[in-house]
Amino acid sequence: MKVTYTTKIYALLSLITFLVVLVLLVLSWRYTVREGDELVARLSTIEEAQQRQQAYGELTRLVNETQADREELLSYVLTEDKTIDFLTSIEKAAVRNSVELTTESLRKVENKGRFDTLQVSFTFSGDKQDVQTMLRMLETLPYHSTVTQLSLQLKDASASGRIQALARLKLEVTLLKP
Amino acid sequence: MIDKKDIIKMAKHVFKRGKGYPDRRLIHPKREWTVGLFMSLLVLFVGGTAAAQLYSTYRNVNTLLQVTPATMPRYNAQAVETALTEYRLREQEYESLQKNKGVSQSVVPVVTPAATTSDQLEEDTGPVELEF
Repeated sequence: MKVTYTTKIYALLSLITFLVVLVLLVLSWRYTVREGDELVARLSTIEEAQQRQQAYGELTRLVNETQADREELLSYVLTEDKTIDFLTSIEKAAVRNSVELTTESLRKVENKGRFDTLQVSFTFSGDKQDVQTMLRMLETLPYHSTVTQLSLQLKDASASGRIQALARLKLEVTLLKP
Repeated sequence: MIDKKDIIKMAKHVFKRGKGYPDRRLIHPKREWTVGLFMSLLVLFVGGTAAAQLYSTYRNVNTLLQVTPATMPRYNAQAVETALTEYRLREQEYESLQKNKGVSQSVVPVVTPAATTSDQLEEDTGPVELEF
């Protein structure tokens, strides 16, 4: 049987068609995958942006709602520029309580984070009642502070018959960094 | 003696020789059709599988999303309220002490094991040291 020219043409066309279909199939598959990945990436970006927007809204609301509380809470933390006023107010309180007050040491301890610590040591003496009041005042200072060390000594009654007291106290006050 | 078995053997030999000439045809329509059909089915199967896989992958895009959740700082309202209550009380007490210095309350916590407070201290006591 002889292969005719027409048969050869048909065979060639069939082969070419087959190859073209195969290439088109591969190309369309790759194109679809690429577009699909792009779609996923863009949708992820949109979703992230929406989540951030929502979080921003919630955060703004939270900041506004809690502003008064946070400001009030912050007022109970000593700042560096208020340190002198703080020490002066303690000295004035000592004068009002008729207590002799000496500031033994004053040291700022730097910590990591937003807060440092102010370590102050006081010695004060006077009537037992006045010293007690003074101690109570130092204990209830309207600042974030802790009495870390206390030494109290009572002495003989004075001529007035009142018991004298001598107190040494170490106070640690939280200091907000500027 | 030639029996039936030999006759059949000879017949088969002759039959085989008759078909033994070399096939000189380049194209076998039946074979070519079969191969063509097979290849078409193969392409159709591969294409179908690929399309099905793409469909199943991207059918629900939401499962493919890679979203980093936005982190919200926690605000512990209860802790703030507790702290504010405590500090308001401290401030009130501090102010009342400033106004009226006659307030007497226990200042020094109990010292174990002697369990002595400043209110209970008598004259000529040695220094009482407390560390918090």
